[in-house]
Amino acid sequence: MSIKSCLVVDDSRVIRKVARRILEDMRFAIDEAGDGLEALQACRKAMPDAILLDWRMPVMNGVEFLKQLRAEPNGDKPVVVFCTTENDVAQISEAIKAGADEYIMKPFDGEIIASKFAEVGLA
Amino acid sequence: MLTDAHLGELQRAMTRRTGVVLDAQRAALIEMRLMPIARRSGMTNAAELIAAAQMRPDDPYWDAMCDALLNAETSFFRDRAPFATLIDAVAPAMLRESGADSLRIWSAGCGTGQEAFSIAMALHEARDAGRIGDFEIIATDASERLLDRARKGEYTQFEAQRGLSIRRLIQHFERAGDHWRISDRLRARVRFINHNLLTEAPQWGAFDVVFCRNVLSEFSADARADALENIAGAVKPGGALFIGQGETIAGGMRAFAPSRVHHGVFERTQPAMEAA
Repeated sequence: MSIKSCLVVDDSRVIRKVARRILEDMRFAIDEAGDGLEALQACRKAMPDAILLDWRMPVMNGVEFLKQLRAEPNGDKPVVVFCTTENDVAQISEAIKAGADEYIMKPFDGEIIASKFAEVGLA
Repeated sequence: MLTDAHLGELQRAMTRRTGVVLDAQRAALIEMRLMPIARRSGMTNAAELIAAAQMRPDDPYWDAMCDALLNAETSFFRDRAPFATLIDAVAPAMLRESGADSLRIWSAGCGTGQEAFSIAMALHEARDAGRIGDFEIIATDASERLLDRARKGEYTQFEAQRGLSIRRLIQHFERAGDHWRISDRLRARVRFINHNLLTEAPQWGAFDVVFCRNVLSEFSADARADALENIAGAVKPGGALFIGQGETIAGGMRAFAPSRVHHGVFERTQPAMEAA
């Protein structure tokens, strides 16, 4: 089975480190970005198979990034899983409307990431 | 600190009351689970609690201790495949063959209710899509503590995210403070009843499908045979039994045969074949 790539987008270095460890255990090749704009630039260079995406970030937030990503050539390819503290039904619906495939509410653990990635056919 | 004698007493009480074989190697975990009962009862540790209960074999402390030690580990749509098999294959085939317009389902050893509510969600969606008719779910457990939680239908954010897609979460749950509460519509679909699988034949009519997953593997061989006999008495001929991954139905092979079509599913044999 080929190794899949995942871009972890979060302004917290700690969260990126935790997510990297969990996803590397799930045999993903990891790249990181600290905000939406950095993530968009990374996607333009190489579109990943999956994106784990925070919502509240400086420069460009997660929803804005996702809307722009989906308008890019091949921007529909990555499976996007939000991973955020936002947990209102209205916010979740907004993320889905913007093109999210799954949604994780922080705090999370490895079991939840594995479960959500399995939901979208990534594990 | 629990001694071997304490653990032996606990093991005997647990097997007698629940059929579950307690792993004495996990003494630290056992002690941790018994501590709240000890504290509530004005005792300083679990050893004192067991010593107090030893005076009488029918002491209510035994019930409280066994209840606290029952394994409640579960998640929504655990292992995923059985629920897809139920909705995509077993339920439509049963309704087609029987000509009935509704299904009766039993979630045996339901714990905190995730399995029963997963079945309810999946059947509700299938019904809305016109793929099946009506359905009724009865969910049972020997632990009133676990049933209390199941009846409330409230789950922490961690619990709600294990096994549930986000679309199902927002379709079937509402926020309740820090928790997520299953919708009234689905809660009304599941009746939770206190029932000991070992000692009582169920009295709620015959079922088309029984989910008894990750329950039998915790039982002793004798307890497993008793439980399977009680289950067999409540399943219609041709009905389906779903057990957990890696579990066996040794002791119940006369009443159930592996499905030739559906992996991990056992079919209730005709009673005439069972006697042969």
